[in-house]
Amino acid sequence: MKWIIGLVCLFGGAALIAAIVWYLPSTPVDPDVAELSYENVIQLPSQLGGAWSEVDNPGQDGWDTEAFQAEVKKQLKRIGKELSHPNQIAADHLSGLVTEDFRCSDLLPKNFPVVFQNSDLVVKRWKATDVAFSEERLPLAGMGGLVTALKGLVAPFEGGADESAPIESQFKIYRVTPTSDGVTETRQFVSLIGHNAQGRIEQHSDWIARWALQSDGKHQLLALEAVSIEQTSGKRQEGLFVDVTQSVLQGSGAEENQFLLGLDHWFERIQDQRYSAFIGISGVTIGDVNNDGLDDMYVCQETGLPNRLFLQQEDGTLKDVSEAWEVNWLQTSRSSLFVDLDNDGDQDLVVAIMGGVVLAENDGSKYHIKKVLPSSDDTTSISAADYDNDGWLDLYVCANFSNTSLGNELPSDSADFVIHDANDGGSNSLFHNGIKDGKWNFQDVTHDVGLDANNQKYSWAATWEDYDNDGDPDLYVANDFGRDNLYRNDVVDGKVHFTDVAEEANVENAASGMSTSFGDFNRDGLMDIFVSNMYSSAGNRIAFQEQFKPDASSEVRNRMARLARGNTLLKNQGDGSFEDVSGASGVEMGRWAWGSLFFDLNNDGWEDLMVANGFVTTDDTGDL
Amino acid sequence: MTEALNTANSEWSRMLREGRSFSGREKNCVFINTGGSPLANGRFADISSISGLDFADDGRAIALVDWDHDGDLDMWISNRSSPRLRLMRNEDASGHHFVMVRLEGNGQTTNRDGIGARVELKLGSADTDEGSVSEGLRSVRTLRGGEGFLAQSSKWLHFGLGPEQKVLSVTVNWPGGEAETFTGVQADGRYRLVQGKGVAEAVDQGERHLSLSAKQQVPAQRTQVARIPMVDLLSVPDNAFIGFDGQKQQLMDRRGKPMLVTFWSSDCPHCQKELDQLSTGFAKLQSSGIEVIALSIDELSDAEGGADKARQMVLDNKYPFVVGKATPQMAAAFQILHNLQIAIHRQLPLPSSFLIDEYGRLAVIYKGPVSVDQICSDVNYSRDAREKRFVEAALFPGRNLNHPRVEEMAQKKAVRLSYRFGNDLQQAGRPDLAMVQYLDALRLKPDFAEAHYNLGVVCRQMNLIDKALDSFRQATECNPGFSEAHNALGEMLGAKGRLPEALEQFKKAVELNDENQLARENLEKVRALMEQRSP
Repeated sequence: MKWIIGLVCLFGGAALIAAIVWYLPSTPVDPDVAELSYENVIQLPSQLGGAWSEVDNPGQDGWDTEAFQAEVKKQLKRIGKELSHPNQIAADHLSGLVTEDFRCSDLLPKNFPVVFQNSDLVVKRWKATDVAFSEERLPLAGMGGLVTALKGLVAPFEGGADESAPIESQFKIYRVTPTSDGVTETRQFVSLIGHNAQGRIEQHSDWIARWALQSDGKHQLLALEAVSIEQTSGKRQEGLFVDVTQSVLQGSGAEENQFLLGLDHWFERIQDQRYSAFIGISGVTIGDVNNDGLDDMYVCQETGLPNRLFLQQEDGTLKDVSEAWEVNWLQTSRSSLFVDLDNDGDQDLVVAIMGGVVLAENDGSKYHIKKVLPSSDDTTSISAADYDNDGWLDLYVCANFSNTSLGNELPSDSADFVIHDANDGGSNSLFHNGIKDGKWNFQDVTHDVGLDANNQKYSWAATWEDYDNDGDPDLYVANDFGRDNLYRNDVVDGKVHFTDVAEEANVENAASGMSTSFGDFNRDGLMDIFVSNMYSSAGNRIAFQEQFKPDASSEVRNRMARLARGNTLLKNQGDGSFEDVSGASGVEMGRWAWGSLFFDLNNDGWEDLMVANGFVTTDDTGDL
Repeated sequence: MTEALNTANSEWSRMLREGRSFSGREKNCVFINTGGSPLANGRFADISSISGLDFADDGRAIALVDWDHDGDLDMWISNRSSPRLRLMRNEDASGHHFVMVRLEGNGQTTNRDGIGARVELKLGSADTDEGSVSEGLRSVRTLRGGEGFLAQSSKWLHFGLGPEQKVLSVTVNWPGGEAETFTGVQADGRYRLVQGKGVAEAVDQGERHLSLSAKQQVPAQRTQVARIPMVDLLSVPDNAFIGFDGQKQQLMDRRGKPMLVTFWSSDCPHCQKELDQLSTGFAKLQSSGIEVIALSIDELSDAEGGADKARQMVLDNKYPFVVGKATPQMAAAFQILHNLQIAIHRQLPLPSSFLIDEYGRLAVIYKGPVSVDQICSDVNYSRDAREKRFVEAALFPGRNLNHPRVEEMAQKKAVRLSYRFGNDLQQAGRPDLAMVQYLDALRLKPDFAEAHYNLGVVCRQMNLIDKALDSFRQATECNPGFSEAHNALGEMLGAKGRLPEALEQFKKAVELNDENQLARENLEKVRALMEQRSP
């Protein structure tokens, strides 16, 4: 009889022991030294460097252009270093960088028009009529030409850069295309950030570079051409926003260290091994808790760190009243809301914890837990709306991972996971508010109203808005690893029913949706949608290569390409559908995006945008 | 593809957890709407740096609020990195005008907060008559309860008016569609719009005396030294160490009293200090019933002559407690025990100590030096109820959220921890150690079908056929739809010669999942066998 040995990992997930390197504790600790060295802990496999490893392993699959991009990125960084101090740009710092017959364009046009200005800043733009490479536009030659072009590029920074404030540069190679024998073309976004005598200045360009293979196997720059640039000059040295946190937090009574140390520090000393804890997502909620006319704040925190309720004082500073109001819960909390659930004129508190939504009633001096509504385990954002217009606020809570995976492992550890269209995430829930005569009744109506359709996504956030102006709130859900949902609220036979119209409304936006916001960005009276998505330059490079998944259908290829493209701005057409204007509006290029919002930052009436970025930053400098 | 993806992803996950940056140091982006200028063609401009909001903090949630009541939007940002909170004050000096409104629904047909209401302002420049409304731009804002990412902004709706503009009309479209016009709204004011009143109420906060000042936040100093009490108590897998006399000893032979396992090396000054103070405090540790087992890792490192130095240290110091040498498996086991429970899989520092309670469960991890007093005061920690341990383990004082649902989730987490560790040990070829974990999981959740099943698998590997049979049966009882468990139960019954019962189980297994190839084969075999045997 045959014995089976199988089914050891019912919940998916690579076994720790199998994967672990059996390294040994050998670094003596010096408790007085705060910064630790991570060198030699683990050597990074070279083929993963810079690769879009979420999708595929280019090193293994023969994406030799990825190795190439790593090489030319170093060259670009040499240029970046040279640009950091305009007065010191010199040919001998750049030896070996360009070929003898190198040609280049001006990197900053001599004259280019002001397209926007206000009291704080001036925006100038230029774009080549044809953004393909053109030999015609390369008047400068040789190393001397390059030096001239570089000096020209940073001329607007005159009077700003010095040793303490060099010009910062960033290069994002987003396309690699072999052209002819030994010549490869790269497209890159180039950002320069710094100061001049007037104030802050930033320049964002799109460059085409051609690289020629040399006999030693390395590449030299054959040609360089700027095809577009946007230059914004500010009129003050400080930012438009300044950090006043310390003045409001010190003296609040809350231990300052808890916010002055990153979550990495805290994750090293608390028992919670979940991947989803590790990524560190803590929500912030504003509301006037004590009806004194001043907005207060609740901060959610990860395991082991208590949630905080801060009351704003008359002078703008904070007072920590978490203990007195009995809301300093230690359970992992992601997000919260201040809403008047029982319509009694004060702000009740809703908190998403793992596996539930806590409802607490405000009695003027503390919160009383009324309910913990059972939900998916891995809750993320909550949003409130009166979806059935009965006068009471209902609650929608998002979930990212499915319950079985509990956020322990990456989603790809599940066999059913499809990165561009994942349908094995957690289920979001809609709770109907049925508070009556002081009794807090909430019912999970997700299924009853049709919100169980397409509801196994890795959701991060949802926002309610009556996008079709028919008097009831509709719902947009931002999902990671695939398509978003747009649930249209319809009343059918006197009953609310939601239909996912993402496809017909042209808002599928199959990308890495992290957050979503509504706003009328073009002031036509219709609410438009912004979705922050991950932008991956590596993903762009790979997905646009011809040899990328040659066997895949064009739909899959397009979806994979979309997955890395970046933020999305969807213009409401007024006929129930949206037009994707992300590229034309210049908001696509973000980074590893998280929170985002429309807001009018300079009171001119036009909705601006903010996107928070960055996945995981550690002391390690060898970023992937 | 899937395999390559999984490999890449596991690798990715591993590197992340070991403290690598990934898409780190990426700055926040701010885009300004150039809508006022036809030349800009509707294209936003990137003003990330000029905004002063372009921090590389691993930004997360953004919430908007006019914190200082000066008519422009300030914002709170939460971050993963330090500083984890920022209040960014808007220093707008454009001279543009504004209106702020706070809604109040009637609490009957409309929620009191007015969430879902859309407010529309029609604007005109100062020289525009009321009659020429169409000339002015309009602004619409909806009050939302939660927007963006894990965030809720202030319920004060903000309208920027631009230069020299005045408000021509204010309309509130209450949820449900009823539109109400409000009069009395003027530029640069804050108003309450109460449903049904039709007239805006000015809110005068009076002059505020703010104590807000701009200052760069400085990250606090990090240290690797940490005391980590375990909320869920995992059984420590048994492992051997070698005494300096060359005798191999099993750690768990010493179970029955609490023990402190300390890893040290001769070339680490902090270790020497730690061992010295454990010696000095030995009587105190003894009176608390704690046994100390100090294990050198010198032989495991590449350092020249470390083993001899360690031996010399032991000879010179005549430590009153048990000393020995860690085997590679022992050292790795404790690193794994750490990694299994802590989100960041940083290499353990030296010294590192593990307090194990009398039942062989890991109670506290100490990274770096720990005082004898601390160890003694932790000796009874694992006896506390889970909720108490939860509060005790917290990084700052806080409270447990007392609710059955929370308990349920906590229990699920604890069960899963043991169960997964069991999976890992099983995969690593240690059914004996895996068994302990599955039993722990089942103690917490007796109806856990998969744990019964895997317990059966490890028992079978260890040739405990009766126990395996019993476990598989329990797996099928907890989850009657568990095809693999029926098959495994059939195999055990078959092994015991109970062919008709085995046949039933294989049938059941195939019935539940006709793709269960093993069950199909087993079914064929047992049928053939039964035919052979029947005359």
